[in-house]
Amino acid sequence: MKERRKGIVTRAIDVFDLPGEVIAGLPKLTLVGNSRLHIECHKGILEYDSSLIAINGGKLILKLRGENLEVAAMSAEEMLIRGTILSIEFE
Amino acid sequence: MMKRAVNFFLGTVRVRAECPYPERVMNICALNNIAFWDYERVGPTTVEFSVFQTGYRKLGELAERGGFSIERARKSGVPFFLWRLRRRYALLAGLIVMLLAVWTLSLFVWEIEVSGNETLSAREILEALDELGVGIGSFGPTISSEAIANDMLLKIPKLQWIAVNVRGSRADVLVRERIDKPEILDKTEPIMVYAVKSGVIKRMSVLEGKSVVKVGDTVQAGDLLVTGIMDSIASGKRTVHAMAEVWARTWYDLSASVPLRMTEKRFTGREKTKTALFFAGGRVNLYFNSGIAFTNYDKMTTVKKLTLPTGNVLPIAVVRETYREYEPLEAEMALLDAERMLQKRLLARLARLIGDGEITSTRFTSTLNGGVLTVTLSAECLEQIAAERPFTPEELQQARTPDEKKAN
Repeated sequence: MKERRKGIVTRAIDVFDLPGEVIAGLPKLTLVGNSRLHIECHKGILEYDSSLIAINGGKLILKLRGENLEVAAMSAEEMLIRGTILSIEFE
Repeated sequence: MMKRAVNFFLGTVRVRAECPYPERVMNICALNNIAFWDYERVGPTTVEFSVFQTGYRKLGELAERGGFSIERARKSGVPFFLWRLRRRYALLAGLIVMLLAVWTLSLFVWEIEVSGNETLSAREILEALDELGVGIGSFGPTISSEAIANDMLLKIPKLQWIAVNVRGSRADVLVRERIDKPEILDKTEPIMVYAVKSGVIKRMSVLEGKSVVKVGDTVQAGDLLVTGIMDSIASGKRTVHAMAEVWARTWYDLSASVPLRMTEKRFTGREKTKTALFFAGGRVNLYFNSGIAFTNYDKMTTVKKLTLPTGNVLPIAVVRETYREYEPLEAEMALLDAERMLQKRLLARLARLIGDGEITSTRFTSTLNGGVLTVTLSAECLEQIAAERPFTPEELQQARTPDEKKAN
């Protein structure tokens, strides 16, 4: 049932061209080069280090690896990360 | 840069937080809208970050519930600096005294500006205002613009309208002057035309009245030129307002003299400057020794009003008095220079005498007598010599007696 519902939501997003981050609770990532990452709709930080930042994205967990990573600004909805980003992983 | 300035004014706190999961502190901050920056991990369970003072207070309330502890590592900014000064009573008292002084002084009038006056001088208006109690240093709130305006209109009849606007320490006085009634020519008034200067009449134009002289006649100052008594068929005589323009050749002999030897000032270059302040109608000397050691000196005074860069005039004026020493020196003037100077002076005097008239010929004669040069100007001019005057009682009498010849 759950699988089916998920399918409906994803299909609705595709069919009606809806903003996915609002409907499905998915994070929206805006990456500027490899130095700035703007994340909307996050659910908090799980791990924080200058070389690794793990972010709870609701249905996904984001893992950023890089150098001199830092959270430049953070609110309940949005987050801006600065530093040299080497990779972004999703779990 | 801007951000740092804002942080400085709002006051920032460096927080050291202890938590098994330091990331939790970040999430709590974000969820509760506590702005933070410079997040730094200092140990496995310890982090440091900066927040505003208000954020720190909020964080303190959340710490217990969130299962972490916080302490203030450092604080900086204006609020903390001011808080440290709260026990320095003298400083506080000084601040209050200063604010009170500024407030009190702003209630007094320090500057009066008069505008809109054309023939009346600003000094006249200011003096009249001063008599009514509005001057530099008067207390602003007691000045009743309406009462002052009424009194001023009575005091200076030439004023038609006046408004005194007191704004802070500045009083603007706006005036409008009464326009004089034009003089109406009374054509029925009996008037005679007489000569104001002696001369030989060159041309005449009589507009009203009967001329008693003709072109070529020599007249003396005071002689009657055109009479206002006319013949009348009905009553024998009638009076009119005689009007005429009479141009006559006039002669002038003017002389002026000047001694050729005179004392000149030769400045020695020694100077002394004294500075004083004019403030609220009083004078504050910025010097101690008021004596002047020079025997002969010229004194020059300059008054400069202080203004702010915004153009506002301050009620303070700087007075500089410069004393320049000189030695009296005997000098001889060149004859030609002296002659030319006197000639110029004589011509200027003549021009003043004849007014609208014109100079037809001039001749200068110079004589030197005992070191004194005398220059005489003989000039011939052409000028208007007619002027009007009312009838004398005798003339009136004469005009009223019927003409005997006609009566017969």
